[in-house]
Amino acid sequence: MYNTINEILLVEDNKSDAILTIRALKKHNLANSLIHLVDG
Amino acid sequence: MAIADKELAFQTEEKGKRAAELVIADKELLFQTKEKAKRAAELIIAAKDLAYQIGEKKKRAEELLIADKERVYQNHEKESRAAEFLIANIELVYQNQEKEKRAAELVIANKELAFQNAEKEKRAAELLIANKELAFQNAEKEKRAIELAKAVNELQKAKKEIIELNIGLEEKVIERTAQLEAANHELESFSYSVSHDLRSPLRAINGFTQVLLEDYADKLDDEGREVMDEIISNSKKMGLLIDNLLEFSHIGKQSISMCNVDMRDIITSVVAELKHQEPDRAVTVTMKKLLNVKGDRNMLKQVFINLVSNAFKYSGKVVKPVIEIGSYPDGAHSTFYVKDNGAGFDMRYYDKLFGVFQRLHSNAEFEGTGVGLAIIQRIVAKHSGRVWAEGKVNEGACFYVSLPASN
Repeated sequence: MYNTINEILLVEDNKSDAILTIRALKKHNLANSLIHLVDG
Repeated sequence: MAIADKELAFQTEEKGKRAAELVIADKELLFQTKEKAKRAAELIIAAKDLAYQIGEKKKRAEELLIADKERVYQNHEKESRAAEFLIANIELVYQNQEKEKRAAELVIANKELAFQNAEKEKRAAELLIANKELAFQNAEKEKRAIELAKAVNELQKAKKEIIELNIGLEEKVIERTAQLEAANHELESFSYSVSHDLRSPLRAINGFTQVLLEDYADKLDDEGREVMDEIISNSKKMGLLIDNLLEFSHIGKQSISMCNVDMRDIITSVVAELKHQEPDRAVTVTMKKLLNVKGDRNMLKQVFINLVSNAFKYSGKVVKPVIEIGSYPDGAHSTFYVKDNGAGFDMRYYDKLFGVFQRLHSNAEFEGTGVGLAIIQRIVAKHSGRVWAEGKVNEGACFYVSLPASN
């Protein structure tokens, strides 16, 4: 599971929340393939 | 001779005459003798009569004597009568005087009567006037009666109007209530969304400060790091405030489900939880009789969490903190009390005690947001109960909550 790259879809309209979330994910090396949308 | 014859004849005649006269005289004598005898007999009778009369006179003399005595007696009587008459006279004089007095009085009385008559006439005149006045008043009264009848009519009209207005008013009340409910609802959702929307910028402030601390701590000096800590602690405090506000507005929206609640169960678990949270504190908690009530279990638990945690908090600076929890029946209600020997409060500021965000102690002294008691009041009000408190600075506080008693 750890070697599989899963795509993460983040839908967050709050810019600050999005930045903080992406940062946290990056810190744990989980943001390799992340797509961020502001509206579902 | 002739003459002598004549004379003799005459003498014879005379002698005859005398003889006749003698006879007559004789007869007269006889008669007189007879008369004398009669008279003697009469005299005898008269003498007898005299003797009788003398006897009578003697009797009369005796009678006179008696009459004399009688007279003397009568004189005495007359004297005493005279005396009596004197007295009677005096009496009469007195009576006369009295009569005069009375006459004078009568004169006065007469005058009085005359005066009274005059007065009566005056009164009669006045009565006449009064009668006229009465007649006038009667007329006025009749007028008034007519006016009253009109007024009654008007009143009935007014009543009808009032009834109509009341119906209108009820409609208005219903309308207004709906409006108010809508406004209330709006306000609640407003405060909910405000607190909700306040959270996200706060979360950003908190998050980015955290980022700075984590990733750039080495680029900051001690003062910079202290400032970062202050930002974080303040934003956390604000978060707590918002949470409490949310909770507070949430209670307003919540509907309560009434059931019998075992208060001993709730309070025991609340106390256990608080002791568990602060294991270092040696707080003596005594629980007296705890009655069951009718209410919403979760809400009531919130009430006692707030009350008992306050008691824990405000007795934090006392050497031997003691908390007493109990209840007593109070009519259709059961009144609970939570009493501590902590910091207490100043009764002068009592009216602020249950206000939202109102605090009687500084944050440095005791931490808090000032919402706990406001929440209690709101919940208790929803239970048609009452909350009040007594306190004295540095001696402790006692909070009372009355809730509907369980059947």
